[in-house]
Amino acid sequence: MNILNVEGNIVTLVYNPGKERVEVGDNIVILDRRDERGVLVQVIQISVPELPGILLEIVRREASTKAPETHGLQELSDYKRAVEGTKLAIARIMMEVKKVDNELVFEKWRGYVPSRGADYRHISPSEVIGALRKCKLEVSKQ
Amino acid sequence: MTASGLFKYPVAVGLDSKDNLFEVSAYDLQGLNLIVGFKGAGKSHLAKVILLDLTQHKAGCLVFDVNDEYSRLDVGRNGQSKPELEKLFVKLRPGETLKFPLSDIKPEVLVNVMEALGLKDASLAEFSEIVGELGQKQSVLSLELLKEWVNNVKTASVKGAILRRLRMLGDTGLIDDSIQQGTLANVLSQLKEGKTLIVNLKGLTKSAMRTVVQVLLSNLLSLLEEKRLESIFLLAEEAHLYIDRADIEDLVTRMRHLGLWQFYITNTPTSLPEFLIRQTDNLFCFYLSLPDDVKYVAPPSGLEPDVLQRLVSALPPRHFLTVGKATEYYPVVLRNRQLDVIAAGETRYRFLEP
Repeated sequence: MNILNVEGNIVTLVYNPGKERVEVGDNIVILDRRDERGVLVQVIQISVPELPGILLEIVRREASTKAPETHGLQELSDYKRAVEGTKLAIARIMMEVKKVDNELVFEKWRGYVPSRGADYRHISPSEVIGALRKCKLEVSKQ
Repeated sequence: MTASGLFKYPVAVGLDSKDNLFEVSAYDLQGLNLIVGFKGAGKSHLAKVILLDLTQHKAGCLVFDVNDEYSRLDVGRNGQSKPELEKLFVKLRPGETLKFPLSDIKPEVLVNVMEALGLKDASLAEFSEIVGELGQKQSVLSLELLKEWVNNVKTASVKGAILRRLRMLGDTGLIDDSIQQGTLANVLSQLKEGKTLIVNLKGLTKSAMRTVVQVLLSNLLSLLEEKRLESIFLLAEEAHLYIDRADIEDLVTRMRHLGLWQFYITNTPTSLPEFLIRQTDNLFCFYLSLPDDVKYVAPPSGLEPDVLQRLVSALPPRHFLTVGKATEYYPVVLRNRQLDVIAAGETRYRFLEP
């Protein structure tokens, strides 16, 4: 999984469905390794990439009456197939995340965007809400 | 399935994507709750899931059941009744198991009921005067006595208007003046014991439904106002069928003061006042097909309408998004959990097989 682009509070993640499973509603923490800071996103839509090269290849293949002959490296063909098979997860940034004493702390998002080489971790809604409740309780104690 | 055990009064609303039970606290459901979604998406099922947990916590719930879907929540899926639930549910069918004398309705409540039945201006004023005079004479109010007095009204149109409404009230079968006084208060006082009252409105005409609901709500509000009743939960399916928009707004406005916590369940969110939507504390949203409906319910979600639209349009049947006080305002996608009681309504099919 990796960040493809970020526009406002919408992040587009690219992933390989053969390796990872992503559903609408999933919560993913994207955390920069070095800063231990990142964002919590919620997947709002699943899509497929619309890169011109992929689209052209699909149209070519559909238009061709014969099965295409591969000249050159088989690896290249496999690689093209793998690229075609990727999916996009469109997600909304919900909160900012910090790792404090090995625990995730959720805060209001202040515009931080993690870099592409970040860690990606699925997190259950109970974990998120548990952390938010804990934070609320601490605030009310103070 | 696991449960967190975080709360004193947990309500397991559904399952997350890993099949873990997701619980909220009944404490956080004390507010205005809205369950919306396309027909058949699973909103009534969710309402029953919540109702069962609230009932087990002896929350005191009043349910307006338009399709007779809630009356078998004390029967297991094997058809055997569940004694532990049986004693917590009280099933009321207007005209059958729900009857009381007219004298059980306070004069001012009776005037409200007549107003809700469409009595207006001069006719309402005349009726109010008659009821007031009867009260002064300390007569025990009965339908017959009222009709006698109304027959003495000189203006024919006023007399006709009042008599028509009295007939509507009589047609509900709710009023039986041969019954002992105090029956209605006894019925409603069961809420104090933490019981769940299910009022079966199935098959009633719209005017009968409105009358039944108006009589019960007016008396309930009066008991809550006088603090003779603890705070309770009200579950209203398709409330626009039997409660006026203005009355819904009134219920919402006085909710916190009265301690009347409310659930509205509908497949037509635009039938509910915008005021209610904006006051909603917890939103449970199933698949909605119309973008206008999604836009209408977006404010309490805290999400941009287009984000909510994308989330909601991807929800398969029996999946819902919940957001609000109960989830710390974080949107969560969940799946309906199965119940081990009969949660389906009975439909009279002509064709029994596909």
